[in-house]
Amino acid sequence: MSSQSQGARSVALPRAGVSLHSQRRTRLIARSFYFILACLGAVVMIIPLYWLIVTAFKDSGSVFAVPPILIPNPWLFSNIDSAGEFRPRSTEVS
Amino acid sequence: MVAQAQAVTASPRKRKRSSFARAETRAFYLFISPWIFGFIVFSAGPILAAAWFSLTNLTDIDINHLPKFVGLEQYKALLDDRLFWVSLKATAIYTLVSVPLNIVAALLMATLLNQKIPGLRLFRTIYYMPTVVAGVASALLWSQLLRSDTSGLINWLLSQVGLGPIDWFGSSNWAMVSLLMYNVWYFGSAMVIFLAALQGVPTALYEAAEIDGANAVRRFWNVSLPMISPVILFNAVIGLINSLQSFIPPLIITNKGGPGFATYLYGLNLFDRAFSDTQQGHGGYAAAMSWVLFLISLVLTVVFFRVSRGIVYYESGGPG
Repeated sequence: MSSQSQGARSVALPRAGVSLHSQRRTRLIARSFYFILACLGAVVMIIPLYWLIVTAFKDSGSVFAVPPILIPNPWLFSNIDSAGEFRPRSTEVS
Repeated sequence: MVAQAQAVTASPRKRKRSSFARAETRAFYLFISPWIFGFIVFSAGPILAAAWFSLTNLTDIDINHLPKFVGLEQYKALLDDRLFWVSLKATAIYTLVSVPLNIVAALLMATLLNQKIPGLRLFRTIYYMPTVVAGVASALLWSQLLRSDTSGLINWLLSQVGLGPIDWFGSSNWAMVSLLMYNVWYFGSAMVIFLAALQGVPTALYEAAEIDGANAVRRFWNVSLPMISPVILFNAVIGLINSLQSFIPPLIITNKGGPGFATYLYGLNLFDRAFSDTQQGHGGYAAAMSWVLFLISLVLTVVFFRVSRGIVYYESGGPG
């Protein structure tokens, strides 16, 4: 039943005074508009995540650089190792 | 109906049925017991303990020094505490803006991602991704992004388009805005729930609306919205409760509720009272605060349900 209604939906329903061809075109325009909107939103959502990842590979000086460094140079993979060696104060044994 | 039910219970199979029902009840309690145990030990127990602590002069957890019963003294002190009201007001503003903002963002994005566009799965993943980043990590990230000079990415981008750097944490309004921005970035979980609800709306309704000449906006407004209104209520209530308890964003992004006490949200105030190392911990006072917050959440939730009665549409005829 659901596949039937799905099929009916993909075929443009003829509307009074509007040709099938122009209806298909408005549908295409709408779909492209939605796509562009989704892309813009995705960029906004991804920028902080990109920054999160990129900052992980910067040295402490370039984290605060003006203007911000968009791509770390060099990529400091050693940050990952030092994160593994980091111990919070409370677990330090004297 | 009633006569039928009586006929069934009066049948000779009554005994067999009830023994089966009893076995099933036993199985039910057996299967649910891990949850019940966890609920009593980890939720109900602490909640009741907090209720008791709120009536005592408990300071620190000290086994040699049992707290004394002081009645409603802590609650009275709460009403005279200026900081209590300040944090309550900040939380009210934050909740009033963040809950509708989040729901609108989540709903619009869910509607967008319910269309047939290329790369749909990728888009859904991207919008949901922030939700899986740990709270403190993402709060730290945002405090970096919003740094007041142009070394902060957002201020740098703003200055590129000539909007000048904004001192995000210097003015009380911008500090609140930065918390709201952080919060709206997290709409993913509400969006997923909306998306599931939207996909549950029967296509036949949209077809009927389309034949009647309803355009996309009308279909959204007169078909989608009423059909998913119970889910909107759900997201509103969950969002409300989460927002009232907000703690990590003001602690980390606006550096302990700054500037001044502009973003000193209730959760942060509560934490400071209970565990701050700068001042003596006041367990009893903090317990009273948490119970006040609980009562506020409870009352607002009941209000939400009452108000929604005439608005929310239940296909099955509604609860109760």
